[in-house]
Amino acid sequence: MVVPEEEQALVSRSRNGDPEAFATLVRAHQRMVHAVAYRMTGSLADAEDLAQETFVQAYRQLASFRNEARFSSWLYRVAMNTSLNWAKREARRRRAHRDWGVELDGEAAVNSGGDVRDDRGRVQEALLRLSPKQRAAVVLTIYDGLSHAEAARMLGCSETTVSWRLFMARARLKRLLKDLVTVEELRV
Amino acid sequence: MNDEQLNRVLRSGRVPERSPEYWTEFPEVVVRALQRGGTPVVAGAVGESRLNPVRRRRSIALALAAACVVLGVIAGFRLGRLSAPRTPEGLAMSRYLRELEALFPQQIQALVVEQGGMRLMLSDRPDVPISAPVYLRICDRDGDAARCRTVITFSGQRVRLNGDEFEVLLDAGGGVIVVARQGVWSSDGLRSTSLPFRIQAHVLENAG
Repeated sequence: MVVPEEEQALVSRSRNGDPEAFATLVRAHQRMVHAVAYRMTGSLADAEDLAQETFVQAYRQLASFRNEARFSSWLYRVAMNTSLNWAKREARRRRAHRDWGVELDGEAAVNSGGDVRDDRGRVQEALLRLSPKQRAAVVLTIYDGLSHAEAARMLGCSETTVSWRLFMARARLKRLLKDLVTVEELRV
Repeated sequence: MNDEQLNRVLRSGRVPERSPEYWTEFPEVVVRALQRGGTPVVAGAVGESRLNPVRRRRSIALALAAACVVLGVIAGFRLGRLSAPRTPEGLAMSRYLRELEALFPQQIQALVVEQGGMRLMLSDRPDVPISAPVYLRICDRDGDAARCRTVITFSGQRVRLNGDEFEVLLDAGGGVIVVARQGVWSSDGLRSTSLPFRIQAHVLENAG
């Protein structure tokens, strides 16, 4: 755990090109960035690539970080934007493969039934059925507890748009996961 | 399944754990990637131009020209918004409504936009008459923005907002009439009586 003053010093040293200082920042925030990346991609391998890309982007954009904000909030925003850009690239790649009739490895197969152990996979698969923007709204508000206003600032859209994306996402997720509630209720 | 149950189900899908070695190595992987090609933008260098004076002057002139174009576009957009009802919010609402209508044909009574999200008012049966959607925004006369409510509804529907009931009607000319317990408001102003609310209403534009 890095205290804010120490974090500012690490940011400052990283800006001046100190790789060890940046490695310390990576160590402090790597789990948070990996979690965002995994929720957005549904794949450990893609999450690893995306987490790495996030930190490289953050390093390149360090000059735009102002010390009045928390570094973690700023980094979270970089992670979310990198994930949304990845989703756009991925959609283009999939379209191109589809146009050329190529089957993709690791294409998310929809699990029709499943035991309790598979339920976690089903939750992730259901998340992947949402549009990236709807998924981002779910990750920000349900998993990371941001208010609609905070999520809107993070995504650069209006609060109404976040509410709408969440409303549509919930409707879809409820349809996809309706049979999981009984299992979940038994656990509670 | 209610929202709380859905939240619990979603949170039960935890991120798979990785090995301790992975977390030890990952920062080094990032640093190696940076050393291969990631150059930091050094704080002191930002704003310092390495261009020669002629190119710097040309860049400044180009930047000023670009700023003028942007200001012109913004001014034009704002003026356009004042004179035309096709607001981005209205277009977005229209799009949302079309998506919802596909899910609940002839059941949507109103879509209420609140601070915490959206509330959909549905009829039990598909008996809502087909008519043009109406954008309605009602605020208290004292100007308390927190009590403003935006609703998309249809002619003939009654909506309940902040404890008051409003009936929304369309006249033959496409004007909107809002009937409240305390009086009437009309978009052409001819039939309006004094009301303790500020009302904006118009037929919702088509998103195209």
